Amino acid sequence: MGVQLTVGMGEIQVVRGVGNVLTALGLGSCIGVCLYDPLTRVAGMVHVVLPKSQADKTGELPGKFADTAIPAIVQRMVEQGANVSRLKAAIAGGAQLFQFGVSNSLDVGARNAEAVVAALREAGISLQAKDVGGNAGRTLRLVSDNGLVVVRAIGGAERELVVLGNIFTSSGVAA
Amino acid sequence: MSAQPEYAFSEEQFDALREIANIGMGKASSALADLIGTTILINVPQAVCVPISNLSNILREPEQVTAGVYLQVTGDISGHAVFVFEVHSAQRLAGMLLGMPEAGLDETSASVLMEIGNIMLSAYLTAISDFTGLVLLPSPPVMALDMGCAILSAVIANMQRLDDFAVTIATDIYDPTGLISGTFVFLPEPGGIHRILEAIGMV
Repeated sequence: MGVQLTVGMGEIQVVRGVGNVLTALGLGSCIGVCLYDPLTRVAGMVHVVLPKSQADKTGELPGKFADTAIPAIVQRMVEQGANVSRLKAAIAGGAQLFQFGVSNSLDVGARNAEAVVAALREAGISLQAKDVGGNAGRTLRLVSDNGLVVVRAIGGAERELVVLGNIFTSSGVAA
Repeated sequence: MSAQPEYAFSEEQFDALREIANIGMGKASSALADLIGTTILINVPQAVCVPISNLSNILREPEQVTAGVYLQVTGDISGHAVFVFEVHSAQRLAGMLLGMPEAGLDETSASVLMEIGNIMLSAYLTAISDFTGLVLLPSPPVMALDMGCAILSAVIANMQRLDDFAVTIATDIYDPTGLISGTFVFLPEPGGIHRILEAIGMV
Protein backbone atom coordinates (compact mmCIF):
# COMPACT_ATOMS: atom_id res chain seq x y z
CA MET A 1 0.00 0.00 0.00
CA GLY A 2 2.94 2.31 0.49
CA VAL A 3 4.08 4.64 -2.25
CA GLN A 4 7.47 5.98 -3.28
CA LEU A 5 7.21 9.51 -4.59
CA THR A 6 9.81 11.82 -6.03
CA VAL A 7 9.36 15.45 -5.14
CA GLY A 8 10.42 17.54 -8.14
CA MET A 9 11.43 21.19 -8.06
CA GLY A 10 8.59 23.31 -6.73
CA GLU A 11 6.44 20.27 -5.96
CA ILE A 12 4.56 19.40 -2.78
CA GLN A 13 3.81 15.77 -1.90
CA VAL A 14 1.73 14.72 1.07
CA VAL A 15 1.01 11.11 2.08
CA ARG A 16 -0.69 9.44 5.02
CA GLY A 17 0.01 6.13 6.71
CA VAL A 18 2.90 3.69 6.80
CA GLY A 19 5.12 2.38 4.01
CA ASN A 20 5.49 5.65 2.13
CA VAL A 21 8.79 7.24 1.16
CA LEU A 22 9.21 10.76 -0.18
CA THR A 23 12.43 11.66 -1.98
CA ALA A 24 13.97 14.87 -3.30
CA LEU A 25 16.87 14.05 -5.61
CA GLY A 26 19.93 16.23 -5.92
CA LEU A 27 19.03 19.29 -3.91
CA GLY A 28 21.55 21.93 -4.91
CA SER A 29 20.70 25.44 -3.84
CA CYS A 30 17.12 24.23 -3.36
CA ILE A 31 15.82 23.24 0.08
CA GLY A 32 13.92 20.07 0.82
CA VAL A 33 11.51 20.56 3.72
CA CYS A 34 10.19 17.49 5.54
CA LEU A 35 7.11 17.83 7.75
CA TYR A 36 5.68 15.05 9.87
CA ASP A 37 2.76 14.51 12.22
CA PRO A 38 3.73 11.56 14.46
CA LEU A 39 0.16 10.81 15.56
CA THR A 40 -1.61 10.55 12.21
CA ARG A 41 1.55 9.68 10.25
CA VAL A 42 0.87 12.37 7.72
CA ALA A 43 4.18 13.08 5.99
CA GLY A 44 4.90 15.89 3.59
CA MET A 45 7.83 17.16 1.58
CA VAL A 46 8.25 20.30 -0.48
CA HIS A 47 11.15 21.13 -2.80
CA VAL A 48 11.68 24.89 -2.45
CA VAL A 49 13.57 26.60 -5.28
CA LEU A 50 13.62 30.31 -4.40
CA PRO A 51 13.21 32.43 -1.26
CA LYS A 52 10.39 34.76 -2.20
CA SER A 53 7.36 34.69 -4.48
CA GLN A 54 6.47 37.46 -6.89
CA ALA A 55 3.38 39.07 -5.44
CA ASP A 56 1.95 40.07 -8.81
CA LYS A 57 2.18 36.61 -10.27
CA THR A 58 -0.57 34.01 -10.11
CA GLY A 59 -0.72 30.44 -11.28
CA GLU A 60 2.74 29.64 -9.94
CA LEU A 61 3.49 26.45 -8.13
CA PRO A 62 3.26 27.58 -4.48
CA GLY A 63 5.93 25.01 -3.61
CA LYS A 64 8.57 26.92 -5.53
CA PHE A 65 8.96 29.72 -3.03
CA ALA A 66 9.76 29.51 0.69
CA ASP A 67 7.15 32.07 1.70
CA THR A 68 4.29 30.33 -0.12
CA ALA A 69 5.52 26.74 0.16
CA ILE A 70 5.21 26.37 3.92
CA PRO A 71 1.59 27.61 4.24
CA ALA A 72 0.63 25.52 1.19
CA ILE A 73 2.11 22.25 2.46
CA VAL A 74 0.70 22.82 5.95
CA GLN A 75 -2.76 23.27 4.45
CA ARG A 76 -2.39 20.08 2.39
CA MET A 77 -1.30 18.16 5.49
CA VAL A 78 -4.18 19.49 7.58
CA GLU A 79 -6.56 18.34 4.84
CA GLN A 80 -5.08 14.86 5.33
CA GLY A 81 -5.76 14.97 9.05
CA ALA A 82 -2.55 16.45 10.46
CA ASN A 83 -2.60 18.92 13.31
CA VAL A 84 -0.36 21.99 12.96
CA SER A 85 0.65 21.92 16.61
CA ARG A 86 2.04 18.39 16.21
CA LEU A 87 4.04 19.07 13.04
CA LYS A 88 7.79 18.71 13.22
CA ALA A 89 10.21 19.76 10.52
CA ALA A 90 13.63 18.93 9.15
CA ILE A 91 15.34 20.65 6.25
CA ALA A 92 18.30 19.97 3.96
CA GLY A 93 19.91 21.63 0.96
CA GLY A 94 20.85 25.24 0.32
CA ALA A 95 24.33 24.49 -0.93
CA GLN A 96 26.43 26.68 -3.14
CA LEU A 97 27.43 24.34 -5.93
CA PHE A 98 29.40 26.54 -8.24
CA GLN A 99 32.83 26.82 -6.69
CA PHE A 100 34.95 28.18 -9.47
CA GLY A 101 34.54 31.70 -10.78
CA VAL A 102 31.36 32.04 -8.78
CA SER A 103 29.39 35.27 -8.57
CA ASN A 104 27.38 36.29 -5.52
CA SER A 105 24.12 36.09 -7.39
CA LEU A 106 24.54 32.32 -7.48
CA ASP A 107 24.41 31.92 -3.72
CA VAL A 108 20.66 31.43 -3.67
CA GLY A 109 21.20 28.54 -1.27
CA ALA A 110 21.92 30.60 1.80
CA ARG A 111 18.99 32.91 1.11
CA ASN A 112 16.73 29.90 0.58
CA ALA A 113 17.74 28.43 3.94
CA GLU A 114 17.07 31.70 5.77
CA ALA A 115 13.69 32.11 4.11
CA VAL A 116 12.59 28.54 4.89
CA VAL A 117 13.61 28.82 8.55
CA ALA A 118 11.70 32.11 8.82
CA ALA A 119 8.60 30.65 7.15
CA LEU A 120 8.61 27.64 9.52
CA ARG A 121 8.94 29.92 12.52
CA GLU A 122 6.06 32.05 11.24
CA ALA A 123 3.92 28.93 10.89
CA GLY A 124 4.82 27.92 14.44
CA ILE A 125 6.46 24.66 13.39
CA SER A 126 9.36 23.26 15.37
CA LEU A 127 12.51 22.74 13.31
CA GLN A 128 14.12 19.57 14.66
CA ALA A 129 17.16 19.25 12.44
CA LYS A 130 18.84 20.87 9.50
CA ASP A 131 21.64 20.05 7.11
CA VAL A 132 22.12 23.16 5.00
CA GLY A 133 24.88 25.13 3.31
CA GLY A 134 28.24 23.84 2.20
CA ASN A 135 28.92 23.12 -1.44
CA ALA A 136 27.65 19.60 -2.10
CA GLY A 137 24.28 18.52 -3.48
CA ARG A 138 22.11 16.29 -1.31
CA THR A 139 19.40 13.70 -1.75
CA LEU A 140 16.76 13.81 0.99
CA ARG A 141 14.37 11.02 2.01
CA LEU A 142 11.45 10.96 4.45
CA VAL A 143 9.97 7.66 5.64
CA SER A 144 6.34 7.90 6.71
CA ASP A 145 6.41 5.06 9.28
CA ASN A 146 8.29 7.05 11.91
CA GLY A 147 9.36 10.31 10.28
CA LEU A 148 12.89 9.10 9.65
CA VAL A 149 14.82 11.67 7.62
CA VAL A 150 17.97 10.58 5.79
CA VAL A 151 20.40 12.65 3.76
CA ARG A 152 22.94 11.51 1.23
CA ALA A 153 25.60 13.90 -0.03
CA ILE A 154 27.34 13.33 -3.31
CA GLY A 155 29.71 10.39 -3.20
CA GLY A 156 28.74 9.64 0.39
CA ALA A 157 26.56 7.15 2.23
CA GLU A 158 23.05 7.85 3.50
CA ARG A 159 23.04 9.13 7.04
CA GLU A 160 20.24 9.67 9.48
CA LEU A 161 19.46 13.32 10.10
CA VAL A 162 16.60 12.91 12.60
CA VAL A 163 13.56 10.81 13.41
CA LEU A 164 10.66 13.26 13.46
CA GLY A 165 8.33 10.69 15.01
CA ASN A 166 10.52 10.22 18.05
CA ILE A 167 8.69 11.79 20.99
CA PHE A 168 12.00 12.37 22.75
CA THR A 169 13.21 14.80 20.09
CA SER A 170 11.32 17.90 20.95
CA SER A 171 13.84 20.63 21.62
CA GLY A 172 14.31 21.84 18.06
CA VAL A 173 17.49 23.28 16.64
CA ALA A 174 18.68 26.83 17.04
CA ALA A 175 17.74 28.72 13.92
CA MET B 1 7.19 41.03 -25.36
CA SER B 2 4.50 38.51 -26.12
CA ALA B 3 2.68 36.99 -23.21
CA GLN B 4 2.18 33.78 -25.17
CA PRO B 5 2.97 30.81 -22.92
CA GLU B 6 5.94 28.73 -23.99
CA TYR B 7 4.02 25.53 -24.30
CA ALA B 8 2.02 27.13 -27.10
CA PHE B 9 4.95 26.71 -29.49
CA SER B 10 4.14 24.61 -32.51
CA GLU B 11 5.95 21.47 -33.62
CA GLU B 12 7.33 23.43 -36.61
CA GLN B 13 8.79 25.99 -34.24
CA PHE B 14 10.38 23.26 -32.14
CA ASP B 15 11.83 21.76 -35.33
CA ALA B 16 13.36 25.12 -36.14
CA LEU B 17 14.88 25.37 -32.64
CA ARG B 18 16.30 21.85 -33.03
CA GLU B 19 17.82 22.79 -36.36
CA ILE B 20 19.48 25.87 -34.90
CA ALA B 21 20.77 23.80 -31.99
CA ASN B 22 22.14 21.29 -34.50
CA ILE B 23 24.17 24.01 -36.16
CA GLY B 24 25.47 25.23 -32.81
CA MET B 25 26.30 21.71 -31.61
CA GLY B 26 28.16 21.00 -34.85
CA LYS B 27 30.48 23.90 -34.11
CA ALA B 28 30.78 23.04 -30.43
CA SER B 29 31.64 19.41 -31.06
CA SER B 30 34.23 20.23 -33.71
CA ALA B 31 35.78 22.73 -31.30
CA LEU B 32 36.10 19.91 -28.78
CA ALA B 33 37.40 17.49 -31.42
CA ASP B 34 40.12 19.99 -32.45
CA LEU B 35 41.10 20.40 -28.82
CA ILE B 36 41.56 16.74 -28.00
CA GLY B 37 42.22 15.27 -31.45
CA THR B 38 39.46 12.70 -31.57
CA THR B 39 36.11 12.41 -33.31
CA ILE B 40 33.11 13.68 -31.37
CA LEU B 41 29.58 12.63 -32.31
CA ILE B 42 26.38 14.38 -31.41
CA ASN B 43 22.84 13.11 -31.16
CA VAL B 44 20.06 15.10 -32.78
CA PRO B 45 19.15 17.86 -30.31
CA GLN B 46 15.89 17.40 -28.45
CA ALA B 47 13.90 20.60 -28.09
CA VAL B 48 11.11 20.09 -25.61
CA CYS B 49 8.89 22.06 -23.28
CA VAL B 50 9.05 20.56 -19.80
CA PRO B 51 7.68 21.52 -16.41
CA ILE B 52 10.54 23.03 -14.41
CA SER B 53 9.86 20.47 -11.67
CA ASN B 54 10.81 17.68 -14.08
CA LEU B 55 13.75 19.39 -15.71
CA SER B 56 16.34 16.98 -14.36
CA ASN B 57 14.60 14.19 -16.31
CA ILE B 58 16.39 15.44 -19.41
CA LEU B 59 19.56 13.96 -17.92
CA ARG B 60 19.93 10.24 -18.47
CA GLU B 61 21.36 9.66 -15.01
CA PRO B 62 20.31 12.55 -12.74
CA GLU B 63 22.08 11.32 -9.61
CA GLN B 64 25.37 10.53 -11.28
CA VAL B 65 28.38 12.63 -10.33
CA THR B 66 29.02 15.11 -13.10
CA ALA B 67 31.09 18.14 -13.89
CA GLY B 68 28.96 21.09 -14.97
CA VAL B 69 30.09 24.27 -16.71
CA TYR B 70 27.48 26.99 -16.73
CA LEU B 71 27.22 30.42 -18.25
CA GLN B 72 24.52 32.97 -18.77
CA VAL B 73 23.69 34.51 -22.11
CA THR B 74 22.60 38.10 -22.57
CA GLY B 75 22.12 40.30 -25.63
CA ASP B 76 19.36 39.87 -28.21
CA ILE B 77 18.75 36.40 -26.84
CA SER B 78 18.94 35.76 -23.14
CA GLY B 79 19.27 32.34 -21.70
CA HIS B 80 21.38 29.80 -19.88
CA ALA B 81 23.79 27.22 -21.23
CA VAL B 82 25.10 24.25 -19.28
CA PHE B 83 27.48 21.52 -20.32
CA VAL B 84 27.40 18.51 -17.99
CA PHE B 85 29.76 15.60 -18.43
CA GLU B 86 30.01 12.42 -16.47
CA VAL B 87 32.86 12.55 -13.95
CA HIS B 88 35.10 9.90 -15.56
CA SER B 89 34.69 11.65 -18.91
CA ALA B 90 35.69 14.85 -17.19
CA GLN B 91 38.79 13.21 -15.75
CA ARG B 92 39.77 11.72 -19.11
CA LEU B 93 39.13 14.98 -20.92
CA ALA B 94 41.25 16.93 -18.48
CA GLY B 95 43.89 14.17 -18.68
CA MET B 96 44.07 14.43 -22.47
CA LEU B 97 44.88 18.09 -22.26
CA LEU B 98 47.24 17.73 -19.33
CA GLY B 99 49.06 14.79 -20.94
CA MET B 100 48.07 12.01 -18.53
CA PRO B 101 45.61 9.11 -18.77
CA GLU B 102 43.16 10.37 -16.20
CA ALA B 103 43.45 13.61 -14.29
CA GLY B 104 42.48 13.98 -10.66
CA LEU B 105 39.81 16.47 -9.78
CA ASP B 106 41.90 19.27 -8.43
CA GLU B 107 42.03 22.99 -9.18
CA THR B 108 44.15 22.43 -12.30
CA SER B 109 41.76 20.01 -13.96
CA ALA B 110 38.83 22.13 -12.85
CA SER B 111 40.22 25.11 -14.70
CA VAL B 112 40.96 22.94 -17.74
CA LEU B 113 37.39 21.61 -17.74
CA MET B 114 35.98 25.07 -17.31
CA GLU B 115 37.97 26.20 -20.32
CA ILE B 116 36.76 23.23 -22.39
CA GLY B 117 33.17 24.03 -21.46
CA ASN B 118 33.77 27.68 -22.22
CA ILE B 119 35.21 26.95 -25.68
CA MET B 120 32.30 24.65 -26.56
CA LEU B 121 29.62 26.96 -25.22
CA SER B 122 31.18 29.92 -27.04
CA ALA B 123 31.40 27.98 -30.31
CA TYR B 124 27.74 27.09 -29.93
CA LEU B 125 26.68 30.66 -29.25
CA THR B 126 28.81 32.07 -32.08
CA ALA B 127 27.23 29.62 -34.52
CA ILE B 128 23.73 30.65 -33.47
CA SER B 129 24.74 34.29 -33.66
CA ASP B 130 26.13 33.86 -37.20
CA PHE B 131 23.02 32.01 -38.30
CA THR B 132 20.41 34.34 -36.85
CA GLY B 133 22.26 37.66 -36.96
CA LEU B 134 21.44 38.14 -33.27
CA VAL B 135 23.91 39.22 -30.61
CA LEU B 136 24.62 36.64 -27.90
CA LEU B 137 26.96 37.61 -25.08
CA PRO B 138 28.30 34.88 -22.78
CA SER B 139 29.07 35.59 -19.13
CA PRO B 140 32.28 34.14 -17.65
CA PRO B 141 31.69 30.44 -16.96
CA VAL B 142 31.36 28.88 -13.53
CA MET B 143 31.85 25.25 -12.70
CA ALA B 144 30.49 22.69 -10.26
CA LEU B 145 31.15 19.06 -9.52
CA ASP B 146 28.02 17.37 -8.21
CA MET B 147 24.97 15.28 -9.04
CA GLY B 148 23.70 16.26 -12.48
CA CYS B 149 20.26 17.10 -11.18
CA ALA B 150 21.71 19.25 -8.39
CA ILE B 151 23.69 21.23 -10.97
CA LEU B 152 20.59 21.77 -13.11
CA SER B 153 18.52 22.79 -10.10
CA ALA B 154 21.16 25.34 -9.08
CA VAL B 155 20.96 26.78 -12.58
CA ILE B 156 17.16 26.94 -12.43
CA ALA B 157 17.27 28.66 -9.05
CA ASN B 158 19.63 31.19 -10.58
CA MET B 159 17.22 31.72 -13.49
CA GLN B 160 14.51 32.91 -11.07
CA ARG B 161 11.95 31.81 -13.62
CA LEU B 162 8.49 33.20 -13.26
CA ASP B 163 6.74 30.50 -15.25
CA ASP B 164 6.42 26.80 -14.57
CA PHE B 165 7.54 25.54 -17.96
CA ALA B 166 10.87 25.84 -19.73
CA VAL B 167 11.92 25.14 -23.27
CA THR B 168 15.11 23.13 -23.21
CA ILE B 169 17.33 22.06 -26.01
CA ALA B 170 19.49 19.15 -24.91
CA THR B 171 22.05 17.25 -26.94
CA ASP B 172 24.12 14.23 -25.99
CA ILE B 173 27.71 14.18 -27.20
CA TYR B 174 30.12 11.23 -27.16
CA ASP B 175 33.22 9.89 -28.80
CA PRO B 176 33.10 6.52 -30.58
CA THR B 177 35.53 4.88 -28.14
CA GLY B 178 33.03 5.51 -25.37
CA LEU B 179 35.53 7.44 -23.30
CA ILE B 180 33.74 10.75 -23.32
CA SER B 181 30.06 11.48 -22.95
CA GLY B 182 28.14 14.50 -21.86
CA THR B 183 24.97 16.50 -22.30
CA PHE B 184 24.70 20.03 -23.53
CA VAL B 185 21.65 21.98 -22.37
CA PHE B 186 20.48 25.34 -23.64
CA LEU B 187 17.63 27.05 -21.76
CA PRO B 188 16.57 30.19 -23.60
CA GLU B 189 14.40 32.66 -21.72
CA PRO B 190 10.91 32.96 -23.28
CA GLY B 191 11.74 36.34 -24.85
CA GLY B 192 14.92 34.83 -26.25
CA ILE B 193 13.03 32.05 -27.97
CA HIS B 194 10.76 34.57 -29.63
CA ARG B 195 13.77 36.50 -30.84
CA ILE B 196 15.27 33.34 -32.37
CA LEU B 197 12.01 32.41 -34.07
CA GLU B 198 11.50 35.97 -35.31
CA ALA B 199 15.01 36.11 -36.73
CA ILE B 200 14.36 33.06 -38.89
CA GLY B 201 10.84 34.06 -39.88
CA MET B 202 9.03 31.46 -37.78
CA VAL B 203 6.74 33.78 -35.82
